[in-house]
Amino acid sequence: MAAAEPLLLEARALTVRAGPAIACRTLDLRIAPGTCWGLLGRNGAGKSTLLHTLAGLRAPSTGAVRWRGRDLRTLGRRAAAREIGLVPQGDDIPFPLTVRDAALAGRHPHLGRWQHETAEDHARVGEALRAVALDGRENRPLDTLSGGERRRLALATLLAQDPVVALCDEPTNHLDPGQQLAMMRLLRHRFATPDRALLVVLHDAGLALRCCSHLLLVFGDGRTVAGPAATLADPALLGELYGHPMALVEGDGLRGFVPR
Amino acid sequence: MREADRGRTRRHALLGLILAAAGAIATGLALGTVAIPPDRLLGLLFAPDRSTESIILWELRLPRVLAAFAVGGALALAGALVQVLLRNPLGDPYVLGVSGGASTAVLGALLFGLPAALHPAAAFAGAIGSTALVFALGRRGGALAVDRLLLTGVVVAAGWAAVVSFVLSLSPPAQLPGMLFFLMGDLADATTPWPPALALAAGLAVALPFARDLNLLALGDLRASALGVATAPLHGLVYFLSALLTAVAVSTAGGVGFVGLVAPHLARLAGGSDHRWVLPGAALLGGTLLTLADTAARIAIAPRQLPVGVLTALLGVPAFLLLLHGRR
Repeated sequence: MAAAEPLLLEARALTVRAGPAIACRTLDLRIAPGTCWGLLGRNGAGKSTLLHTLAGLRAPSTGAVRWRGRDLRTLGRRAAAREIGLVPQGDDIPFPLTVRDAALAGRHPHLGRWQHETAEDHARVGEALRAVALDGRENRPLDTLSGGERRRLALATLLAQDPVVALCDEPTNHLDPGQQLAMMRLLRHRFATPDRALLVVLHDAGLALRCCSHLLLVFGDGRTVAGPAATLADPALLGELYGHPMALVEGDGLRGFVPR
Repeated sequence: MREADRGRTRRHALLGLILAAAGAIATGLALGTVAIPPDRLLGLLFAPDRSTESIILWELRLPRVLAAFAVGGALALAGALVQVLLRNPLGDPYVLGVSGGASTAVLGALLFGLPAALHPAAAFAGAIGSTALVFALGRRGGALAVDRLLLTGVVVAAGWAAVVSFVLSLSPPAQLPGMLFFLMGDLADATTPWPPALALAAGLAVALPFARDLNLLALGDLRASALGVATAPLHGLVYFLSALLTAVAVSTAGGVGFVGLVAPHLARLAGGSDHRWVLPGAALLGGTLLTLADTAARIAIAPRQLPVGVLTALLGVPAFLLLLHGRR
């Protein structure tokens, strides 16, 4: 469908309830190609629930999520998984699994029921593991990985899945500051490209301001504010968002936000 | 290990398991109160005659040995499926309340003097009824909820156990041995391998095309659906497939324990968690384990026979511990 402006993922009058919280009420969100969105909000505001709804894994309370102009829920799970990737939080996996097995899961939506992974699939998985510096550890069992390695493996699975839009739930969790920045750079490099887009749940407003072109602030009572990152980098607004006064600190040309 | 090597290793492992299964079946056919030497066994298999050995082989041993293999395979396949469904390596096919329902129904049939020919049907009806009950109660808001399903299954199983104890305490002493043998798992009354064999073949045929989806389901519902798996229909398929396999197994051999729990683990320990390997691997391992156990049950204290359920754990526990220990 030709729209006035090319859109990938779009929320129309979307209301998402998450337990006692309301992640958003009649939210209109337009995720255009080339954009990188940071999703900020306090704990329990419904950020993950909103993310899952945008990925089409959960029915909205009201309103709709649209993919390239059509209702996402009419797309079919497998087709949707080739377009939209989700990196969820947490990774408790009760069965013995190797790094390669986990990354290979990303190829699932590209394979038919009777197909086996081809040499190309294995090549993509190998490339994805190299991109997150987990190459050479293909046969390591998951339970021997550190928290940071697990986050990088989740990213490798996403790279192997190769969707058009990536939705990442706190991808920088468990990462040291250098790794956080490396993770965001890699995500931007792969998804903030002219024909793709990225939406990342973050807790560090400074990192969001530094890496994202747009921000979506989720207050938890249904209120949301969306817009270009630079216009929303306001300590007063962030203080209201987190329910705690925030201070802007600057140095070496960088800006960060810390709780007062 | 490179991917090509891993594929080859798995093919070799499957081939090895098939040979082991054939060996177990041959052993089961050869050994018993009347031992049949290997050359004679081969001859009789291809050209039955009117000798006592031939009659023993064709009318007693072959049906029983094949039934043992099929029951073991069906329980192992059901166990592998239930473990994925519950995302719990401790899941076994009886967690869904199958065995309790079947046991109660058969004990009722025994108590009311129903003919033995109807016992498998009673067991099957009890198993399916109990499974449907657990399924109906183990849902939250229309969708299967894993924690709730597990808890419901365990509690319903405990309820059946109480009913079984109640029936046992009321039963005439003369009927107790038969009832106990059924509860422990016993293949002495298995006269035909066809129901479990067909269930096993159908179960594998239906489950194998979904093996890669099961790999993802094991990672959790959210991950699986994010990677393109329609989880709700798959839950239903896995649930009813494992219930059907277990019901047929229980109606043939009673409550044989341990095979359904341990065979999938042996397969995972030996070749990883890819269900394209785990499903056939576990089925072959389960069949082999139960065939060997039943052979031992027939000859251990011959001419008397042990219920095979006694021996599955006696053989399975050391096998499992050895493999687990060798890994670490």
